[in-house]
Amino acid sequence: MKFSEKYSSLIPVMTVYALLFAIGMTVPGMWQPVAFIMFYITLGQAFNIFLGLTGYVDFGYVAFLALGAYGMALAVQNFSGLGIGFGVIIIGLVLAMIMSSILSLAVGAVALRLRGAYFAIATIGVNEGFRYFVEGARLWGGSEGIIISGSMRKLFGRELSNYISTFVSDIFVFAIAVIAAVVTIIILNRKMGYALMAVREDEDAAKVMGINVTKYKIMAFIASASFAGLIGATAWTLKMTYVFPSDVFLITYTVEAIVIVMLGGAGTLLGPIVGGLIYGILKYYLSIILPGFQLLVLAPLLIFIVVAFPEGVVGAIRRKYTGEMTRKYLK
Amino acid sequence: MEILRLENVTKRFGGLVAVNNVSFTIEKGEAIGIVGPNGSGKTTLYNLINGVYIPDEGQIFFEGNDITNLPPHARAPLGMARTFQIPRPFGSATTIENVAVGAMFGYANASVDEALEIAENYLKLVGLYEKRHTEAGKLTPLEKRLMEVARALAMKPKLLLLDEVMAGMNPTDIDRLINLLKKIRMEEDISIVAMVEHLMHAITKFAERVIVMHQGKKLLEGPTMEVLNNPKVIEVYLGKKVVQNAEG
Repeated sequence: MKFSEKYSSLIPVMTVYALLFAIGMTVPGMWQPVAFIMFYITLGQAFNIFLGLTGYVDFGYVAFLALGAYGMALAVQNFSGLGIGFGVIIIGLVLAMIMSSILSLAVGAVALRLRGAYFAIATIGVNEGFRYFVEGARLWGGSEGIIISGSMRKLFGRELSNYISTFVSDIFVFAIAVIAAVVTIIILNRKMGYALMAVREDEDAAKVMGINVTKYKIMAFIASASFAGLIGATAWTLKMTYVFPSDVFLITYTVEAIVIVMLGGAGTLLGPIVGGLIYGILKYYLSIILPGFQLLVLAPLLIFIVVAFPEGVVGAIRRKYTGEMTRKYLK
Repeated sequence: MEILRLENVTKRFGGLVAVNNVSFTIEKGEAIGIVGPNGSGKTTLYNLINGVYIPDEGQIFFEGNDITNLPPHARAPLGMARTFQIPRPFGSATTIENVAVGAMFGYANASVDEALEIAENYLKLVGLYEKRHTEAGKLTPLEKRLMEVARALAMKPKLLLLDEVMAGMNPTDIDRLINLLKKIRMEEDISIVAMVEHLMHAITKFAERVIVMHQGKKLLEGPTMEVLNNPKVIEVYLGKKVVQNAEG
């Protein structure tokens, strides 16, 4: 396959990102909703690398997000006195990735030997367990968490630290979405992508064909978890400037990530974006139009979409139109 | 030169002895038939050879190396490939992607681009080239079988295990497949083991040597025609009375 053909499916993805970015930058008052939607798209994009490509559901996914959030908070808290300015945030990002990938390696090495539903059950405990560990062992401030707004002000001054939490953190999320999409397409185009497809479709047949299924599942798990860590570090810590265990270890984010990936189409490149758009827009505007009742309306809408498109919106389109264009642009 | 050797292999499931103290050797480039009625342990035998099951007793050697405890994914790259009795395509992927997976992870160990090329060649060989972009799950049962043969061949195996690959095919298709397998065996010097329950006619055309399984044990082994005409084999398939009547 030619290079251009391999990566042509990035075009619609990047077009959506560019459009969202342009709307946010040019239309007054739109940056906040765009960032809100973008958070969900990025979350879906990161989770898709694992759930979409392997077909395994991880109910403990938010633990990686939380660890990433702590990674950034710890970096700002401990290294703000070094006088390296923006370097602290770089350290925070790296730390977030390292912490979430170490946890994912530990969880994956044990739990990924289990199949399907057993894996899902095993992972439910990870998130809750880790939260109580942090609180009980008084790790990283225990249940009081870490507040970094003071350190941020000391580091960057009042104005710049405000700018970081209201704008730069969202730009980071955009960047993560772009990188996650590129990483997804690279995986899909490599042997790893084919191996994961085989795992998703028929794990036993995959093994017999020489695919080391545990290895590839763990690779996808770590990739997905480190993106979750980055999202936690930027969309949570940099934006909120605090980390409380009761807020970050919230299973709601896992459920939202699952919904987004399923809505859009698991395992497709464009799926999480479509899913994130649908979910983000509905959630944002329903909470404005019908404050307090948004979930009551959102739930039946989501059920309707899932029933109408059991393979997700993108999955359904791909099944319906199997021509040259679909193969090229809808991965 | 030997490619596969089983030494006193036994596999039990609870009280049932599915494969009972079976030993045999397959030479490089041989065409072997494994026959036996339903429940005689043929499929278990395949699962032991490619590592889905680990034997309770006995040892398995591939090209002289002990592979008894290797997991399946470590055996395929050594040069082993199989098809399944009930085809197991990667349903939502296209036919060419299915076959390419074989080339990527089998003994062929090809890169993605090479694998897609190899896949095209084998799809042409089995006559599925036109369907290369069709979802494998949407192929007809016959096409799925052919796809599995192409996928197994794309792995460039030294030993190919076919599990009831000709079941449900009409005589023309069977002849075509047998000729294809014969040709590939000659060209690429691979050993092919075909397992069948009832298609004796096909086995006589294909196999040089036959192993007969019965109730988990190896009943007989030898040149095809000689073995299939043995009264013991006829008894296994048709019962004692038929043999007596034929003799009397």
